[in-house]
Amino acid sequence: MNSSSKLILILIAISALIIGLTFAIISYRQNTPKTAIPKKDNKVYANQFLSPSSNFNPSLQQKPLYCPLALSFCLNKTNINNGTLLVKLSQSTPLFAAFDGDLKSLVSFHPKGLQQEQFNTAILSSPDLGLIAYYEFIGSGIGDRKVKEGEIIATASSQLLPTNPSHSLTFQVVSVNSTSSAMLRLDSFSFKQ
Amino acid sequence: MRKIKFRIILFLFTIIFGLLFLYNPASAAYYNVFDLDHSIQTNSQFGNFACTVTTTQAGNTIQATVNIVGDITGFNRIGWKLSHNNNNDEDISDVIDTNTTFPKSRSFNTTIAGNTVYATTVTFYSNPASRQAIDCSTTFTTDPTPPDTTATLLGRVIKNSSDTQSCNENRFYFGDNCGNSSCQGIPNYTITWSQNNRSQSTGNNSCSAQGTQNQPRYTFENTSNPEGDKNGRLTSAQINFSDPNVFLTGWGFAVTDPAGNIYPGSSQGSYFSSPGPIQTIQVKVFRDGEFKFNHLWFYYKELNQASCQSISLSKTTLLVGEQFTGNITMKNEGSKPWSPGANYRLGSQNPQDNLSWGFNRVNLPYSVSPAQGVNFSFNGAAPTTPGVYNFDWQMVQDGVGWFGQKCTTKVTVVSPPSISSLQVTNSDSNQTVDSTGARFTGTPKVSGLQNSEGGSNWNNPMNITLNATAIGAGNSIKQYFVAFYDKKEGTSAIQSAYSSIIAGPTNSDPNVQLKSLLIAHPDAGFLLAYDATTSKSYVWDPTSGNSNKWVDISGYVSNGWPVCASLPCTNTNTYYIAYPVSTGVWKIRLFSIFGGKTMYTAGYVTDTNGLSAYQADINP
Repeated sequence: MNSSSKLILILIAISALIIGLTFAIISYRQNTPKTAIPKKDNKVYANQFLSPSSNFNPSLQQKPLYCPLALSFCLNKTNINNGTLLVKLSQSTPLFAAFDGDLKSLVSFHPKGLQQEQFNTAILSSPDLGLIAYYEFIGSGIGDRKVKEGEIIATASSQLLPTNPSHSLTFQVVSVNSTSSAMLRLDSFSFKQ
Repeated sequence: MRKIKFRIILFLFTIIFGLLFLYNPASAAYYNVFDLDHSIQTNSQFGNFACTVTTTQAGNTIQATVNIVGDITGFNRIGWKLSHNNNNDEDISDVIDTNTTFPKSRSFNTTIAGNTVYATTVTFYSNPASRQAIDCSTTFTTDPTPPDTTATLLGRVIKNSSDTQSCNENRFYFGDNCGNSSCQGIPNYTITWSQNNRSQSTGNNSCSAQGTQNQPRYTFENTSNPEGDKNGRLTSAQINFSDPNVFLTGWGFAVTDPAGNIYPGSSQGSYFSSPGPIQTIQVKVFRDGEFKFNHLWFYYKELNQASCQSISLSKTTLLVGEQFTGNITMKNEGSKPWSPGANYRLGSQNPQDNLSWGFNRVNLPYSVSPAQGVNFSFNGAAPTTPGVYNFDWQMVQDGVGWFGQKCTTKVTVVSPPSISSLQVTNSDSNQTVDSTGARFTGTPKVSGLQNSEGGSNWNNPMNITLNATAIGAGNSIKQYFVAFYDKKEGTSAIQSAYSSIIAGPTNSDPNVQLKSLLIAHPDAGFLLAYDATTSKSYVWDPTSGNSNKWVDISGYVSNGWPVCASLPCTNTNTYYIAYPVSTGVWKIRLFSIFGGKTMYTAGYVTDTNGLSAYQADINP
């Protein structure tokens, strides 16, 4: 092969390389996702809200709960729907601790159009029982403190919740497994009578 | 000579590169097809040869099988070459087969896009010089690529050759050809579909279409004779969705003709675009004719969708770095269940993935079915820089994308006021301020109760100045408190001592005198607060019995005098002198003996944000 032929081959090879690169770039750009996908790195996870303590006893988790309000409400099965106790309260109804635990008082906002409607969320948690109870209501007198089962934790009004316009109290319980981070929302409750 | 050679080579290179630059794959392939097809003959030349094409489809990949049956009599050497052309007229197969056994079958796969007509040609060779071809043309109608590749093909309606008249599920005839006069004008059909079937309502005049969670694509094809009915045209079509769970995204309705006409021989298709339960495309027929609603694809998309039910915080004003508890309730509004294993999480937004609160992901605590809610509870820490922060969170399926309504609120992060100095100065030689300026010792020269201002006893009181700074725009110090206290250093406690305090830079009000009995308490700091709105006095009790809180001691204070039945007072939780002032300047006077012990000062301030700062034994 003479030098001219070699040069031609080299030039053809360069041309092919340029064309190949052009197609590769076009192909890459066409396949670039248009929606923002979070990067897999740089994630910092919140600590699990409740981890069972060394005193955790799974059998205690199964015991009946103290009714968070007058027992008649809890015994009425129609008030429990899909793991949530839903009740329409009368004015100034005392709410009780469903079990011994730490009470946290939170101010909650419900997005409603451009406005945010406010209500209360009380979170009762027990590392020993591996339970978290959520109370949503509109009321007063919660405070952050340790409470005993049956202790009054707040007074709820009859005002209906923005999150659930037919009811003035929602009550849910989540259980924590001692051996894993998985939680479970209780679908049904049993209450002490 | 070499130079000439080089110029020739350069010239050739320029030609080659120019040709490559101008290379248009579509047009080049187009001519290739003509090369293949130039010898197409009528089927009769092949005796009883015939071909059929069967296709299967997976997404946009077509597998076509060409079956050849026939008689090869008269051909002493038979080969066949299979080619098909798509929109780019691309020859994808060039198979020479000398096997003369028939029937013969050959399959090929190709990925095609859009609504494409493919012509498949089988070329027979009796010898290379006189190759013959039969036309196995067929039409492949591929599924359109959905705008969202997560959409799943629900079903398709393809033109049925046996469907020639009525307004049935495969064709929609408008006008007289429909055989139903009620279909003239603006026809309406009710179309319902589910995962595997589609049906049309029997209502003659009802045309609203109802869909479930689908992503439909429509194609309207005007099959009127282009030559015979140029003015018969379809402008648009109408389909109504009444299911509130329909989520439609993707491409907009667009027709290439500015007037929106679909002329005979052409078709238009697109995805429904605007989100919302009701989508309307209206069909108007401008001339009777056969207008086919030719292809209709229904895409079901497993949707990730969420709504914010509530966002909760311990409080919306936090100190810098303050720990807080938060809870966000999200509801699964989509069709896909959420599970922790599928990387469903709560993620921080505005800005995306921010770490203002110490983390940017909250794990899903448990699996959540559609229409179910979930509480994301967490403990966090406020940012370390004061300001107003977005507290925005949104559902994310990591590796897939963000979705649903954001839960948003704003949190104000503030710094507490800062106490810069607490200075004690004294001109009374009996009471000595040490070098720190915050501790003093000595023996008051006067003992006994003092219930009014005046006399020589009030000469030369000690001055205490508390300097503090409010942090943050619009913030200011609201109240100053000072106190002095005994750390019970040494062996003996203060047994009986009396003090008086004169609030403010002047001592004009005798009632601000406080008489106290100093009874040492281990590490007993004391601060006394006075609430002017309730006229109550409070003492800050650091002892375990009262758990660090303000204790109302109004019952022990009367006109500045603490109530104590007899001296020494036995109440070890009784603390002494302090009085809120607005200037941070105090004058105090100790009346009784405090045994040469070192007394420490402490300062406490509150600001208009309701925040406070406390510091004891301050070095100036």
